[in-house]
Amino acid sequence: MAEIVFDKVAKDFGGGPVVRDVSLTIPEGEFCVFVGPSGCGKSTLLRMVAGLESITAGEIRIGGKRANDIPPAKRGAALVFQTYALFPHMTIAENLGFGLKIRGAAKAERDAKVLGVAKDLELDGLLERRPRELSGGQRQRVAIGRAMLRDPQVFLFDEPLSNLDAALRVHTRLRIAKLHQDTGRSMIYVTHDQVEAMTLADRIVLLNTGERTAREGSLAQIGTPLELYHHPRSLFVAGFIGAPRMNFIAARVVEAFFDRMVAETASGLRIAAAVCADGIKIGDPVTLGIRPEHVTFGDTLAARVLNVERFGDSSLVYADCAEAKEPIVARAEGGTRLKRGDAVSFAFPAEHVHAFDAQERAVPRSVDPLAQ
Amino acid sequence: MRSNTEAPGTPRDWLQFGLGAVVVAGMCFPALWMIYSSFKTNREIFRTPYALPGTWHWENLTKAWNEGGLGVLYVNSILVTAASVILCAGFATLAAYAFARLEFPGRRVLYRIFLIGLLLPPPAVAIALFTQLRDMGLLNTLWALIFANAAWSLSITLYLMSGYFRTLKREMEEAARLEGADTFRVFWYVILPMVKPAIITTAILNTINIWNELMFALLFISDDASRTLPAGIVRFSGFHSTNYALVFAALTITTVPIMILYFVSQRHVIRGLTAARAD
Amino acid sequence: MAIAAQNNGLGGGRPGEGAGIANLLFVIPALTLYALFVLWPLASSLYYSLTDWDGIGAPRWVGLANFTRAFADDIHLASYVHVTLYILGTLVFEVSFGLVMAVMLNSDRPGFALLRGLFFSPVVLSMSAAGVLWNFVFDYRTGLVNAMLKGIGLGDWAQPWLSQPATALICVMLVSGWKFAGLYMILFFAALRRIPRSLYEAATLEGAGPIRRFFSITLPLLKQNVLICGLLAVTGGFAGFDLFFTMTNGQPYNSTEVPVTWIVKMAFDSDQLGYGIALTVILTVVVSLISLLYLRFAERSHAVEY
Repeated sequence: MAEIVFDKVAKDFGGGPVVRDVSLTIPEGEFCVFVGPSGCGKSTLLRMVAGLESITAGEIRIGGKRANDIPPAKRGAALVFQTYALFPHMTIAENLGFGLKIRGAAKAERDAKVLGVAKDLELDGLLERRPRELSGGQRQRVAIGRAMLRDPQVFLFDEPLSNLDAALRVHTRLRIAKLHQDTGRSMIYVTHDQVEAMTLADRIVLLNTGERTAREGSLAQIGTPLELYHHPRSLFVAGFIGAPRMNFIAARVVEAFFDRMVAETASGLRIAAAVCADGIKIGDPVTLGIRPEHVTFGDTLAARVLNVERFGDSSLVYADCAEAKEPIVARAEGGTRLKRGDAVSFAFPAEHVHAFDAQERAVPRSVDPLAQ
Repeated sequence: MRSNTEAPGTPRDWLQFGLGAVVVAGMCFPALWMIYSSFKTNREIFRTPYALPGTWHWENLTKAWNEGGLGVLYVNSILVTAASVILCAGFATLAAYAFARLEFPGRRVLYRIFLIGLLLPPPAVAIALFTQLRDMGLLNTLWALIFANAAWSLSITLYLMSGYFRTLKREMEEAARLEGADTFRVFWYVILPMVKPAIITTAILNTINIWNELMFALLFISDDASRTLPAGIVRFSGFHSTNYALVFAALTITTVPIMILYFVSQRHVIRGLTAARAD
Repeated sequence: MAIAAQNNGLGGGRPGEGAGIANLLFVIPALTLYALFVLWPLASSLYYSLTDWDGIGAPRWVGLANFTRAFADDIHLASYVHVTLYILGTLVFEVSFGLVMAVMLNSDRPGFALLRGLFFSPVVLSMSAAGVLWNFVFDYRTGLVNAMLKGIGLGDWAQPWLSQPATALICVMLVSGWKFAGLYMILFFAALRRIPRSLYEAATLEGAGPIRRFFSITLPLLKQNVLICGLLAVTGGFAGFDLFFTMTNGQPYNSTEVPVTWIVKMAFDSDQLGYGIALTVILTVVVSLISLLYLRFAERSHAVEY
């Protein structure tokens, strides 16, 4: 019943479009993550769902009803703010119970519900404290508790983890995932951190920024985390999803045949890619991409090691070469003996190589890792 | 000449403190002289002007209180100050909220119009206001002073309050609206408690200004029953220009409370003044 | 800077809940009060200033007669000379003195906060109390000043301070300085606190002494504050009344007459309300013009970032 539909939604604050041409359906119960670089309008989009921001053009429907003109409180959406937005002058109990009080719930009912949620979130010892006496993690839990008490059709999260330290982030991430499982409600979660997006989302909505928004609309790609990882639709998506970033090498097509293409770099190095070669012409410029975890050690590309970052379970090798402006990054085993200044040689297995045309669009891959 | 706080008491620091203390003592002496002279007899004041009183004549205070009718003046001053300060604080806070957070027709123009009052001196309208109050039948009533003082404190209060609103995050208000609170309840439950410090600061500044206000009080009140302290003191000292002890006693009675308010709320006074003018 | 640079205190322009007439309700009370007791008298002043009116009968239209009279009224013109002198005096005794004291009392050591608090205390005193008090200090026969002069053997120097033209205005300036130096001290002190200590440390390492540090760091960085304080002193000075009224009320021989005391005399002692109101209009125009010119000038010389 609480399906959320965006129909050609746009937002303009007066200085050009911030959000443009967003059409998207979030089915009931889905955990949808809006991700993108800063300035892509992801928070604006979320606030438009909440009703805190007017909709310049298009329509948002919640549960089948046009929501554009419904006041925020009546949309059935609860928002967890990045800064928590707890009322500093109220105790935790008053903060949690504020909405119930506004909606006219009797005191006894209010107290019971607040206590229930507080117990769930291990806040029951803190009910008489004020927000400033709480740690960041505790405040975050209060903010989530307040959203739970709304019993909303949809939960909205605006970068809820960005003010927490690393350990607490993992913990809270799990808590939010559990909240999703327990309630089965739709959730829209905004973040700039692709790790959060990958780990939490049923589906990711990756948003464009600036000039790309104007050119192709706000939506860069919509899909499951693995779809975005394996089949990025554009150079931008390929670069945004995945850490460390995908390696890119500029080249020119020299062979294109059925499900395979070969391109040559300026220095004459030839690299093959498993892509559908239908629309590709010999001589076209392409950008080749391969993720660090797919680079192997072989004999294709000679490079010199700049730096080695050791994580224990694996290491990242940064190496300089003539073919790419940026250093090539490769994931090696934890115990690698490579060190700065060493000569290395990389290989790029064709089934892992992506290709992007001059318009930065991806050439469809001829292998599908998801089908295996 | 910002001194370095790490090293304790270099000779230069002591010189700085000593020099400062001498100047400050010189500044404070007239007021101290007034206070302790109010316990002397007139004859003592003439003969030994600097000396402390031989015997402390507390009865001077009672005499001044009775002869000057200070009780009435006090009550009037308290009524006028309290009413104007409350009126101004309430109205200015409501308006500042609207200017800072709400959209309505004429918002920018109206704000500019309110700011004009920052640069206008009250004498600019004093005479016209006098005739207007007379036509309204408010002359010689405390209402004349209450309305005039409250209205003339609006601009600075509104200006300070809107400045404070700008420092507040919007999220709390948005959270409250999501919970179903309408504009007025957002104001009442969320805004008002959060701007309390600014209300207190501006109220204290206004209290000091209105408590000391002289010109309106002289022009609008000619009736003993409605006179306030500053005007009353000027009158009293005119009648008793040779009776030092009595005038000093009256001055002491009238200034000590405001001095105490200042020393108790010094932090607020200074914060308000600097926010108003130096930022 | 408060008045100068932030031309409006409006929020980001993002509306709250809708852009409704209903929101106007929040402004109506303040607007009513302000319109009735600030704007309306201001507007009606314009009308009355063009009439001959004793305040009781009906005002009689006289056109610009009041203004021609004002520009031929020697005492009125002299009052602007006096108030200009007075303002120059306050720039020395209030603003400059306040700045010096702010620097002198700027320390985190114990005791300095108390000194600052005491130095500021005359500001909260009422003008009338201050005026009455200082009348006794300057009194010819029994005043503190003359007593002090006698005490140190300079009895011949005793003067009737407030009743001779040569000294009366200076006395008022001094009292004004006593009353308000604390205000400027606090304003400058707050600004000094915002200058990063590292600047002084760097200058000290370069070998700059205290005097040089004041002129090459403190003063340039306080430029904007000095400008604003100057504006306060100027606009406040033109509107000065309380101290003049309680201390000299224009005496002797109108030598301390300032615009407002003269206005009050014209309107109430001589029952020429039309003329008095015309004089307030002139005062309003003068103060607004000076403020605008001053702000324009202050805006041009931008604040120093640090």
